[in-house]
Amino acid sequence: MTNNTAATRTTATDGGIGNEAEVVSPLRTIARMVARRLARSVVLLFIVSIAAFGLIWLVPGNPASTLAGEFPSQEEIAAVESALGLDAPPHRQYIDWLGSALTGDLGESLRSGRSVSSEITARLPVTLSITFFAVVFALLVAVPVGTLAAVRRGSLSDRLLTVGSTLGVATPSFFVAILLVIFVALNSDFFPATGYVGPSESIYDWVRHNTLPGIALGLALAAELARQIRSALIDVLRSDYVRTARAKGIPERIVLTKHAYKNSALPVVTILGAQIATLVGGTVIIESIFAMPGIGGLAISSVLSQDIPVIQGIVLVVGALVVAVNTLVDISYGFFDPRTRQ
Amino acid sequence: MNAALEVANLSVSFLTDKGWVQATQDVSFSVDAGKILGIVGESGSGKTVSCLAAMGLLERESSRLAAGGSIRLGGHELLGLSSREFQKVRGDQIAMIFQEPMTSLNPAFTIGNQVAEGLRRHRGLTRKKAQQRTIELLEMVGISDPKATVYYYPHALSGGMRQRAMIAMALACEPQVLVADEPTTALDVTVQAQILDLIRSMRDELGIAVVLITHDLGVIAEMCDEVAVMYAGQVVEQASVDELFEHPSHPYTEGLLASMPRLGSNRQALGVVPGRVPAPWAFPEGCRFAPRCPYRGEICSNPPELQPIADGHTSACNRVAELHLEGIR
Repeated sequence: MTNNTAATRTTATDGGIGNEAEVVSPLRTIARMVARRLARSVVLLFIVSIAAFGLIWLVPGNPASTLAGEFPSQEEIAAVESALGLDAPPHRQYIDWLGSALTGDLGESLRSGRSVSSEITARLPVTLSITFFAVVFALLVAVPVGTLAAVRRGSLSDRLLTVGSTLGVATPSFFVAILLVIFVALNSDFFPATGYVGPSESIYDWVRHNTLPGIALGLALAAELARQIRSALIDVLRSDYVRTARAKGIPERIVLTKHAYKNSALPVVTILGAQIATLVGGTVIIESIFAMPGIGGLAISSVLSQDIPVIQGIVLVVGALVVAVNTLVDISYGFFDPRTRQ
Repeated sequence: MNAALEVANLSVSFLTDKGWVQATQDVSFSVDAGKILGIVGESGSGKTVSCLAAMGLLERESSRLAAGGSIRLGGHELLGLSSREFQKVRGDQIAMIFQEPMTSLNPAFTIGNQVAEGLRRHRGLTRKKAQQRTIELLEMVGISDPKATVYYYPHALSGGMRQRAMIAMALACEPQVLVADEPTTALDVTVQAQILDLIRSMRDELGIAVVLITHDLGVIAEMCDEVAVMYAGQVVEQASVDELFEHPSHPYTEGLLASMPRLGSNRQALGVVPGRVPAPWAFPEGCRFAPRCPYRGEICSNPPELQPIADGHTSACNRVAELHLEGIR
C-alpha cells in the first residue's frame, strides 16, 4: 500500500516553518499597490477640484449681480465682487479657494450666509445612508439570486431572473419609490413615508427610514448585479480550477463560496464602483419623494439660486466620494485577483 | 490481490442537443499498484470521459452511466456512492492531474492554500500541520524553494512548476491511484521529460497506480507497463507495452504506430490514419474503425468484441486472425 515514504523523506527540512520573514514580501507588494492607487486618487481629486471651481465660469449670469439686490448699479456690483474676491485673477481665486477647502473651509453660502461645510456635513449623512442602504439591498438580492440562476442555469429560476432583471433595470427609481410609498409605507406603521433619523439617534429608526428609499434606489443596481454575478459565476464554474477543486473532493458548497465567488467578484465590484456616481445622483429624486434632507435637495436649491460656493462644495465633496469609492474598488482588485498587485 | 483501480463495462452517455448520446461503450481497464497504465487514442476517443467518470467528476444532470458498469478502487465499488461519499474518496484515495497547468490552479489562492486544502479536508490537519506537510510535498515534487512557494500565487510559477504543484496537490493524501490526463501536452519538451520523470519516481517511491492518458505513443513507450488503445468510445486493444509495440493486433494501433516519428527510420513520410474519429452520434454500425481501416472486409459490418488473442493481450478486430500487422522493434 501507499505508505509514509513521502513523509519521512523530507524530515531534514523541518523547523523554521511559519517563519514570518516570508510573509513580508506579499505584504510589501500589497502596500506598494495601495500606495500607487492612493497617489492616483490624489491626482484625480486635484482634477475634480479644478472642475468644481471652474463651474463658476460655466454658470450664466453673475452671482454678484444676483446678490447686489434688485436693479443694482455698476458700483454696487463691483463692491460685491470685490467683497467676494471675484475681481482677483482666476488662478488666484482658485488657489485661495483650494487652500481654504483643504482646511475644510468651503466659503459661505451666498443665500443663507452659513458655512458651506456645515451645510454639507449636516446633509451628507442622509445621502450616504440612502446610498448605503441601496448597495446593501442590491447585494442582498443579487448575490443569492445570481448564484441560484448560475447554479441552475436554464431552469425556471434562471429564466425568471432574466425577465425580472430586465424589468428591474428598466424601471425608473422614482416610479419604484412612488409604488413603495403607496403600497408599503401608507399601509404599514413600520416604514414611514417621509423623513430621516440618523444612526446616532436611533439605529432602529435609521433602518426604518432608510429601507424604502434604499430599495427604490437600489433595485436597478440589484438587477444589474444579479445578471453580472450569474454570468461571471457560470464562466468560473466551468473553469479548469473549479474542476481541480472538485477533483480534490471539496464539497460543492465550498467550491462555490471559496473557489468560485472570489474569482467572480471582479466584474461585480467593477459594476459597483461604476454605479456609485449614478446612485448618488439618483438620491436627488429619492430624497425629494421621501422628503429627506439630503445633499440632493441642497444641490437643487443652490443651482436654482445660483449659490455658487454651495454648488462648488457639493461637486467637490461628491466627486471626492466617487474617487474614494473607486480607489477602494481598485484596491479590492488586488485582494480578489493577486495578478493585479504587480 | 485486487487491482488498485478496476473499471469494467463503463458506458457514459451525455445529454446533448441531439438527445442522449452514448460517448463510451463498455470501457474496461485495470491497473495494479506500482504500475502505469497508458490509455492512448485520438481526441474524442473517450479517454478523458472514462477517467472523469471513474473520478465521479461528470456532471450528474447532463450525463449518466449505463447499468452493469463498475468502478472498483482497491476492491471497493464506487458506483452507486452518493455524491457526498464519493467526495470523501476523491482527492483522498484517487486523485487526478490535468492537461492545462496554467488554468488548473485557482489564480486567487496561494499554492500553499490549494495544496493544503485537501489535507485539511480529508486528513483534518490543523493549518500549521497542513502547511508543514505542504512544504514537504512541494519539496518532494522538486520545487526548489518550497517555503517561499507556499506563499506564491500560481501566476508567479512557470507551467512546469505549476504542474509540479498540481502533482503535489494530487499526492497530498497519498492516494492509491493517480489519474494523469495528458499531463505534459501543454508543456515545453524539456519540461515534459522532467514531469514524466517525476510521475515515474512518485510511482516508484509511493507505490501508487497511475493511469496516464495521452495521445503520444512515445510517452507510452517510455512510461507505461500496460496500454489500452481507445477508439470512438471503445477499448480496441489492450496489451503490455512491449507486446503492443511488437505485435499490434488492431489496424488502428498499427496506424498509430506508423504515425509515430522515430530516429533511424528509413521511411520518407510518417504514416497517417486517414479521416478522423466520428462524433458520438455518428458512430458507425459494426466495427467503428471500419470506415478508416485499410483492411476492412464484409465481416466488419458486424460489431467486433474485445477477444483475448494471447496471454494478457486483447483485440477488438474481426479479422485479427488473418492480418499480419506491422509493429516496432
